[in-house]
Amino acid sequence: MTLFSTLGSSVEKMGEVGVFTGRVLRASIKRPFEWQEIVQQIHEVGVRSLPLIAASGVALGVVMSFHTRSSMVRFGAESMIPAVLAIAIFREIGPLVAGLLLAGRVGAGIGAQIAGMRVTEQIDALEALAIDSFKYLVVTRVLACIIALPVLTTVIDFAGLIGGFLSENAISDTSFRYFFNRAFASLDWTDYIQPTLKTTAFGLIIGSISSYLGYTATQGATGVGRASTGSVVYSSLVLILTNILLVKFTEFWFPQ
Amino acid sequence: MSLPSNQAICLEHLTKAFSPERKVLDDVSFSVPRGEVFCLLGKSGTGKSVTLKLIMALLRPDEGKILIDGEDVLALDTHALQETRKKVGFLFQNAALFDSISLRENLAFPLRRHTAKPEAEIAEVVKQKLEAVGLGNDGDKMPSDLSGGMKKRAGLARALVLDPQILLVDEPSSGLDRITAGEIHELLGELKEKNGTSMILVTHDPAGVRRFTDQIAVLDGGRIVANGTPDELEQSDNELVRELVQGGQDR
Repeated sequence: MTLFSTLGSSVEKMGEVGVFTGRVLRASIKRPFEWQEIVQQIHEVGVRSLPLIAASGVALGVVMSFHTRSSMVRFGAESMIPAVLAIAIFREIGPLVAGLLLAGRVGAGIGAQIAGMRVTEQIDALEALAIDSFKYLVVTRVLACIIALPVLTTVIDFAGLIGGFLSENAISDTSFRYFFNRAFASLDWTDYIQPTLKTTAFGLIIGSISSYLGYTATQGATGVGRASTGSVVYSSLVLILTNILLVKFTEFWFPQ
Repeated sequence: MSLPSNQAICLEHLTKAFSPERKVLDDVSFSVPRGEVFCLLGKSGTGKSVTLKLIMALLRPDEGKILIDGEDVLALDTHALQETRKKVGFLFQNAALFDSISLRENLAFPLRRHTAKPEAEIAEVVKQKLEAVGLGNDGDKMPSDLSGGMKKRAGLARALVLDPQILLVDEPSSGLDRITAGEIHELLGELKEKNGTSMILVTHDPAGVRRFTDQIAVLDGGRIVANGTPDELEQSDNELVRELVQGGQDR
């Protein structure tokens, strides 16, 4: 009984998030547009995440290069290392890690900030001042996530390649030109465009789930904590599951 | 299209429950003529703040009708509701200042959103409103740096920044010393006399606003148990009503 009621409640919540996301999408194409706030949120979500994304990308590239090298050396295929790194990073690792990092850094922030405003009646105050709180707080943040994530993915992709190069350069004295020539020779535009566009869906997931949990928060400080933690957990989980569907979808519609 | 009305606010048979067991408001009706001050009294937890939130359409009633300036707020679309809300200033019980921006920005924010005033004029209006509540030197402070009483005054300044025709004030003097509370009451009285602002005041200090109060209603158990002029209610047979009107209860 408990299992069924938990399952039922989870399905109900998923339905509510779906309806909430639909409302976000409808509101995002209706005037008036909150341009100033959207730009502010892109700065908050995108620009402020750059150091984390770039540093993580470099570290990821270094570690991947270590692992790839140990496998490749066994088969005498060291010259393939740049290509393998580039394909792995651009097609899958970059988009997924950028999404998960953003869910951690920005999802928690959005959830906590909106929940804090809800429980201290600041959202009611916005409405009382004749400002559409949904458009002003929610739509702007979701759009910022959708816009910023593909850019951040591009940054993590290149940072990963740079990390891979630094590692290769330190171990085998590989030149910059050689490494990047080999890396890009193996890449096709579809290796970049489709996985990167996929992250707009990740941005929608992170923004919508975090905003939903914040916007519907109750119970004071406890509610703020729950919204913050829930934003990271549920955004990450849904993002990973959606990624599986999107990969299959991409393979079906755009076979390599 | 709304009909002209001499009532600033009119509530008809308003009912609101947050749980099936208990109605917070049960068939509440009253009206506030233009330019008059209406005091809503009652013990804590009797639905006074809920009434104000229902008027602003921040909550939806289960039954009943709410008219602001003759317009049925529950029937308005989003845009029309926002236009109506611009006519109404609302001081929240806990002030509800935006905590990520300074006091000055809290006041400038609605002006930037709803008027075409240049920045210099906005700065001047903000300065005037802050001075009116005795916070002329505190514009750069963040809400977290203010005391409870200062937050209350700042919230009132923000509620007044668009020069609303109607003001809903939730406990204007709670957390204030007697002198500051007196100054706030003086300001509210001036708004009525000079600007003809209509007001609903939720207060535990009816004596402080007696001078400019036209009508008082007492809420008990979700119902209006008394409604009349201050003089009438002071002579009420109901002991609770007399005590609340004389300001001796729940202070």
